[in-house]
Amino acid sequence: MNLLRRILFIDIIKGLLITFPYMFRRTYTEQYPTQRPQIAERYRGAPRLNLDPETKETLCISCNLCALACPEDLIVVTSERDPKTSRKILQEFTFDLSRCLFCGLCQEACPVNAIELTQYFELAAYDKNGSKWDKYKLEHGPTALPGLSPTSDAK
Amino acid sequence: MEEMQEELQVHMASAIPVIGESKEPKPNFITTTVEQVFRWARKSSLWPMTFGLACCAIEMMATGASRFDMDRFGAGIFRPSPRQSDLIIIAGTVTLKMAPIVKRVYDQMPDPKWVISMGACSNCGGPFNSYSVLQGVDKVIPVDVYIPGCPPRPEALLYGVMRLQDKIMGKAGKVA
Repeated sequence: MNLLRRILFIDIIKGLLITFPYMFRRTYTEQYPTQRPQIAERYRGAPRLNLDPETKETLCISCNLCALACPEDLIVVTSERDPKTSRKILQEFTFDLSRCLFCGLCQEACPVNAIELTQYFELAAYDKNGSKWDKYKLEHGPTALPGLSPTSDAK
Repeated sequence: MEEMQEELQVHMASAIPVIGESKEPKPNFITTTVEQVFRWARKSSLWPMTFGLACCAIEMMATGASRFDMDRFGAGIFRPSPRQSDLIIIAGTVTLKMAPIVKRVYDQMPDPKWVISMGACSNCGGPFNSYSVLQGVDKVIPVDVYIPGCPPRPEALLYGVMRLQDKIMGKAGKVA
């Protein structure tokens, strides 16, 4: 009996009968590079420095609260004081992504909603310095900088 | 502790990545085509080492599983031996105790080999700026692709794998 089972591949056929229907079921795999994944609204990814939609000037008032809130001390804000209005003007804003935990404390600390963590997650870099984002990259997105390979795979 | 750090120093000295143009004579049509085929073969069968150090390894496992399926990139066969693997994904915190082992596993891998540093901890120590954690795995082995995140999404790891494939094909472009 055992020999007959082996000769007729009974066990293999039993196994394949379970596997076969999966050919006709919906594909479970996310087709990531060709299809954008559904990212939750509350997902915290790449940071962004928001601009005023009308004047295209930065919303940041260089209060340094995000840098103080950051548990990793990876935000560096440099500012200069305008002698006339005595307001602080943002000079440079550095965000070191390589150490970032994406905890969102900077976003919570910001009083003017200038810094925001977006749903963008494609952040891989060939160099550690590629993860240090300056003001321009934070404002215009990671693909805006020349030299960075854009997300050509995902359309 | 001191012995360990000395050992680390020795490891660090021998782990300087070679950067720059090769000194070989300019290749002709046939050799470049063959080289391109080799590169294509290498990029299409990146076998990663089964090597998880911390919580990033959970995301790495998820990337290998059916929902994200790294096999679509030819990189899904996690090898249990460094002798059979091309890629090591440093997924997690590299402690000073683990660093010599990471270095040894990397040394045991046959050339050509690549390294992906996954997550904040292996990029630069992450939140653990302490006496026991190596501040960045690139102090021990050369890293090709850094993926920020704590931990990165499986898609982010897939994106890193695609960037590594670009690098293998010689399309990496400028440092980014």
